[in-house]
Amino acid sequence: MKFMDILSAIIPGVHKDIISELPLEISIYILVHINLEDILNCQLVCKSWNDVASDNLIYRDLFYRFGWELSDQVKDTPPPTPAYTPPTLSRSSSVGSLSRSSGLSRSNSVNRSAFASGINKNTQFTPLSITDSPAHTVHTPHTPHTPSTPLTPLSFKPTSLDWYELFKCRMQLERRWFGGADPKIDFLQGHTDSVYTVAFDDEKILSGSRDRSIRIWDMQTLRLLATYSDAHDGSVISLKFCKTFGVSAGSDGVVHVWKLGSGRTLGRAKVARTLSHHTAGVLDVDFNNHFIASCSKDSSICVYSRKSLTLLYQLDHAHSSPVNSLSITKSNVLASAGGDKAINVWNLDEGRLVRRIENTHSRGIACIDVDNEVIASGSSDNTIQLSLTDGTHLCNLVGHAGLVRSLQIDSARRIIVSGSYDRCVKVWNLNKVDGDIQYTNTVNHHSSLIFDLAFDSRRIVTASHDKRIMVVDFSAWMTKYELTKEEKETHRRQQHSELEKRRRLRVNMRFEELRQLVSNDTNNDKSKPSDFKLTVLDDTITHINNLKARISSLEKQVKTS
Amino acid sequence: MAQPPTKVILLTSDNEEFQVDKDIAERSVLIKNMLEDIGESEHPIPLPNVTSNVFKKVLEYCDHHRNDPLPSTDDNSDEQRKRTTDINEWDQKFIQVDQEMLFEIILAANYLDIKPLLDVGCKTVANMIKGKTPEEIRKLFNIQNDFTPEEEAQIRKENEWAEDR
Repeated sequence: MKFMDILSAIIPGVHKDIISELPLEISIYILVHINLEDILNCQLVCKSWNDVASDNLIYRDLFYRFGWELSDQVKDTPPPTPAYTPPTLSRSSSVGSLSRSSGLSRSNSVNRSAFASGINKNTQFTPLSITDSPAHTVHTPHTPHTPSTPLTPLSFKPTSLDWYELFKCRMQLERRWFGGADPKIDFLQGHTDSVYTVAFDDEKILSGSRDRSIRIWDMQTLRLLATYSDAHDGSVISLKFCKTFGVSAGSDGVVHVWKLGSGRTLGRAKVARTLSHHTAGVLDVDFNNHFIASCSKDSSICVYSRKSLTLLYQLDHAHSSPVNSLSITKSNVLASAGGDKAINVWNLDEGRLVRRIENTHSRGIACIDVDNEVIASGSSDNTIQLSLTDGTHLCNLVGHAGLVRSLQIDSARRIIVSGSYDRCVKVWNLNKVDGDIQYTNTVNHHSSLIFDLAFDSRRIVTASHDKRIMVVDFSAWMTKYELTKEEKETHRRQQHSELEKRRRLRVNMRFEELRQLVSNDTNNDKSKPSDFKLTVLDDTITHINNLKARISSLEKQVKTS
Repeated sequence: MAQPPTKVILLTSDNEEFQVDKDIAERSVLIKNMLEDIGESEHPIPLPNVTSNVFKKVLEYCDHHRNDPLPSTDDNSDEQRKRTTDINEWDQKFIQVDQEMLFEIILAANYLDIKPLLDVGCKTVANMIKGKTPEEIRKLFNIQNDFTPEEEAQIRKENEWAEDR
């Protein structure tokens, strides 16, 4: 707003410290529109700006804006200690600002000492290496936060997490992905032939191999829990799972639906249903909440209902070649790719081809992943291409020296991880979109071709021709700051509505006040409104009298002259 | 024949009465709820927190946007995820006011519960802050730096983790 700059420069009276003088939730709402650098600058403006700009809610907002998600172990519940006192929304009180300014402590929305003491009792949370943080010395000794003004009835359900710390940790973790520190590398050995496929969550890793077995490994201890030999009558080519629901595809042409164990039954697995509609080896399988889809050497795609496990339809001749790979989004979009160099985008609700994207790759496509309308595809032309589901080509990622056999994209985090026949795993940073994207990190510890990979916020797991599974952990020696999966959804829903809720509470309050005002009006029908009219009338009468007096004096003047 | 629009009488804190078309007044969720609550009434609705000069400005906005679809009350809309500070042309011109008025408009929009206007106001302030150094921000809003050099250094030190992204 250049206009404002100029205006404020020339008219001195026009300045107004908007951020300090607005109610806190509105100031926060303003600051969630600016980026991290600007927020850090705001902290340096003055004490009251620092209070607003370092508010817990701002860092929670930033956390999600960076495309991060909380996962396992940490819960955002109201702090367990009764010592916790919700913050006051009012910050006009000088007592409050004095107590804050003395320690320069952050976070208005979380009482850190209460938070920390609560956490110590909460075994689910391991605090971050407290030792190395100079910031912590600022908070000690920490005087208990006492509300300086009576609590308004507006006190909202607080968030128990220290989002500033979470944000800081995650930022450090994210940097490690791009070469900030060496990750911890582990290998899982046990398969007796090439490992074709891996999938994992915080509890377990599943792997499928040319040795026809599926193995289940403990994610925490990295130990082999169980081996299901002859899971398929051929190589296990692809597998995916979510919690206890799993699917596997084999060169035997069938897709198995698995019921997997969890917690105490970790390691258990049994085939719940076998889907056999393909006439040749199944090359890839994926699912979302509604559909399961598999693609095959027979150039068709089969789409099943996830609920009933029945075939909904088979897309024959989906490609003019074997269909090498497919991926399904939450919004029921399926992208498939094959040796015919084409990417097909399907609408699964209607079972209809929406778009055919050609001419992106110069050779056959080996792998594809779609996330939020962004399609990433890897090919034997050694490149990765980024497109949108509407067909728009975004850019190409050049760097691998061999066929790109596997990749996964997280469009919110703006990151792609790819695995290639050149034995390298590359992490691509999509934030650097100026010109050609360069890969920013390479992990090359496999001694042979990489066939598959999967990643989450802190780990990459890869499967290789060297019969080994590699676990790349960027969070090693850091913390566990994650949430259980059930909480994830609630979180997503809570995150942006908090400010709105606070605002709404105030609105409702005002509404009540107003209603009382109005009902007073209508109840005392005679008194109040007419009182008001009377005063107006009085004013008018005095005004008229004044005018009369003036007129008569003027008349006198005229007469005398 | 179109019926003449129903009028609503609103009374600002400085006792000025405004006769406003009902659909314009109802851009304010607060007023809309009031009207639903009390039904047709001869009595003016008091707005004790809004002065007439600010209210005139607010009405100008509501009048221009009288036919806009009402914003969804769905708190979970993904819209906020893709948060932008884009402001359309008319709104930009509308919000070219001095800081005092901008402040008052934000307060009024918040009080009257006119989310789109609140957004315009907040985005405008956000745009004023964007890309500025702390000193430039202080100048813009005429703020005294009340940090001691030690305190300032402390904050800079605390934020070192965020550097060189």
